[in-house]
Amino acid sequence: MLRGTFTRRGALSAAAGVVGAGVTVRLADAATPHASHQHGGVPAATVDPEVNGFDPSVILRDFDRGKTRKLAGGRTLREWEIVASDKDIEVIPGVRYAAWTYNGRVPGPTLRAREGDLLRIRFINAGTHPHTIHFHGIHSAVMDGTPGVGPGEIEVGKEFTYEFEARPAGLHLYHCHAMPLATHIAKGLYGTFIIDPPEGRAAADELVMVQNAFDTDFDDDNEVYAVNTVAFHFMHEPVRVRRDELVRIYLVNIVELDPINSFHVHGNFFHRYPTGTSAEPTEYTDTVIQGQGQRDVLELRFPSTGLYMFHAHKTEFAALGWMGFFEVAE
Amino acid sequence: MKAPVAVALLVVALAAGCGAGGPGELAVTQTTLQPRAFTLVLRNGSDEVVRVAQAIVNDAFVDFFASARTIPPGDVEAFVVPYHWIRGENYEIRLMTSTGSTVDSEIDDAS
Repeated sequence: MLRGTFTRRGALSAAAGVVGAGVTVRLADAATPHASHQHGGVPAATVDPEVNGFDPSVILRDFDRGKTRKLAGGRTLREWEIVASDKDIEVIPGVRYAAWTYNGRVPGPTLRAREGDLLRIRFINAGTHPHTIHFHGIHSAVMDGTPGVGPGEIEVGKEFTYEFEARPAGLHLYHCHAMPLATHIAKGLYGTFIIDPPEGRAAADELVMVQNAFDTDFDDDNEVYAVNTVAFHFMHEPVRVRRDELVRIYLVNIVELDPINSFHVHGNFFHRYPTGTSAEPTEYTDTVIQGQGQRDVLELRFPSTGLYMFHAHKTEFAALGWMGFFEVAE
Repeated sequence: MKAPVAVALLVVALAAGCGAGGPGELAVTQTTLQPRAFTLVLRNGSDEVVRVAQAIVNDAFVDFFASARTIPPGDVEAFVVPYHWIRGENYEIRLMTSTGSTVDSEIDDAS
């Protein structure tokens, strides 16, 4: 019995062999415009960054330190302007998703400060729903971006300036906290918030990897998984690093609708610094599990050149887009 | 690496009114198994042009082939999904459109 239908699940008891006369379909080879242009399930190309207006590879190393000036007493003031807006983005070749964005990208800009800086974030809601920015960190209630507290939800066309001190040092998040919360996060309103310790960190090739996912058919289940939004992107555009150079990964899990996510690297091990709040690693491993909103700073060096895969070891997510390569060169 | 060349001629029965999906729906009306492949017939019962962008088998994106990926309203198209299926196991096959919508069909006890 056949019951497979649009947005509904059904069962089919199928048998091998084909059927009678009707429509004739000639299947051309993979090089024709109508073939899927995929290789083993991985699309043969990634999404053109021009389509989305942002590039997952650029997001890796794109740190926004804001406009800065020194205040009386020598303290640094950092100022940003963040605009929420609606935007269609392509999350896997050929598939558009109606996202909500901070500054036109998913994830939003990676905001970076030093512990003790004064931060001022002017938030403008140019979207079509009320939004906020809720920062993880230590700050007053009125600056928390929570509905019903302080300014609460910022209405469409309105703005609010959040102001607080950068603390504690570590790897944090910011995201919309308007209700319904899962929807406002899942549609793309999130970003990475890094507070460097006063003494800084050792020089490294630093990479921001935001694990995210998209429920493209609105069935409360994600269909597409990625790092920095575009599924399989780093299969085509490997993360290029140098042999023996210290690589520091700011790993964030912002996937909604699934309780856990994970990161695994091939041919190597890394030191794990949970939330980046301690100078001492807690683990030396090749796989880390993260719950929703969890973050880890990972440090590693590749001793040999070549291609090394990284992916979710929740392998369903890997096969649905969350996989890529490091390309290690001299 | 260039994908393997897959050339096949399929004859697919489409008896009027058979299969699932009423007016206004996008529906898989037939699913058949061949050695190392599934074939799905998708009927566009909606009043909009539909473009199939991706295929998923058991929660993994997979390759697929079709003579056309864009289906006008009221039309049908066959999609071949190369897959090394296992006798007696169950499969969920999804076609994903350019809007992210999905059309599902399931195979129980593949044989």
